[in-house]
Amino acid sequence: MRRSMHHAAGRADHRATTRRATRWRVRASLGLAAASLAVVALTTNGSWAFWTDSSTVTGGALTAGTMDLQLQTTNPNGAVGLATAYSASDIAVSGLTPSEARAFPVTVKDVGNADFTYAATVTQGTSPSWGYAAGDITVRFYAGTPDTSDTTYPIQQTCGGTALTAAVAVGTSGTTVIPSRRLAAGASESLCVVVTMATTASNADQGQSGSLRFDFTATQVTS
Amino acid sequence: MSRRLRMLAVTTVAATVLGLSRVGGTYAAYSDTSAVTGGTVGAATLVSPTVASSPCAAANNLLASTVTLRWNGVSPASGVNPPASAYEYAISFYNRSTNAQVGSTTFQAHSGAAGAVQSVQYNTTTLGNLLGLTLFGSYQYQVRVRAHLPGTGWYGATTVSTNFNLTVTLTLATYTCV
Repeated sequence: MRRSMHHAAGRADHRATTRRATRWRVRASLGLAAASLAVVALTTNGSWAFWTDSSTVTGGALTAGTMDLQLQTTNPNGAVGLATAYSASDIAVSGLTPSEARAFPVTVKDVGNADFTYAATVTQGTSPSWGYAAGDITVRFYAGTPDTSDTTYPIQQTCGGTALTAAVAVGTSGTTVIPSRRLAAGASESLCVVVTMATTASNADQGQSGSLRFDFTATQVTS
Repeated sequence: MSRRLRMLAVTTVAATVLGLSRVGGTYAAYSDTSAVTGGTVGAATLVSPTVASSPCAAANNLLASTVTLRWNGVSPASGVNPPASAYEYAISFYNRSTNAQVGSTTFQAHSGAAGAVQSVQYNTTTLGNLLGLTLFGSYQYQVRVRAHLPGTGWYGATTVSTNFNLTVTLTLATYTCV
């Protein structure tokens, strides 16, 4: 009986021990699972906070674009480079009388790799100084080419194409003769300028002289 | 979305906007200028007539007296603008006593080659119409001839002057070159 009771007590102890071990394993498993979930969760939300990487990227050479407005009349191509003057000595007239006009070609070139817009003004030149009465010499640009077929008095040459402005009197301050125009990179545009003496020119203009100055400004197109 | 993720998104958007604005700001565009100097724009100078070798000739008779005035036409150099054919002559009468112009200026086109002698002839009828003569009168005229470019206000600088007198008695006119 005692032996029997002893055995019964031993089996009960064994079962209790087994249950504790099982509970510990379950708890450990749950803890491990929770820890794993936490790692996964943190990895999903903020790997940037824990995982880092770096890479140095070496690019190629950065080469600046170029821009250059160049001009050409019947004189050789010029105004090469930025802010370079151009001598259009061929835009000249002698023996001009009232109502007469002369036409000259002017080619504008976009020698660069960006489109630009350009415009121009006219002013009295300084060499020779201006001797004409105010308003007696006018200038008008056309998008076109000159018609110089008229060579007999009164010589009234014209330009084909579209006038860019009305005839503009040459004054002491710059007056627009070419409103802003766009020119594509690598392109050129044929213009024509007519220099005219007004029919009403003063008698005092006889034997006078002057020179014309055109200021071209080009600005890169950024959009 | 977690708070951290929202902050990351906001930061990213802000950086993107900042980057765009910086990209936009780089469009300090290139520009180029060129001063173009033209040649000389020169005006013509009109040439003037000169005194002819026989500037005045009177032909007086009972029926139709006349006076003929002559001058050497303009002679611009060959190829110079304007050519002689483009000229005309402005002819004006002046009272030699008062130096006042009498009547209005008339114009006569250049005739012939450059430098060719030009002439104009008057009788009492033409002068009467031009100057307003009376049946009895004595007149002292100076005729001034200047080159003119038709359709413009341009005149030659030098005037050719010729003097003559006229006496009118009814229908009898007598011219005297002076």
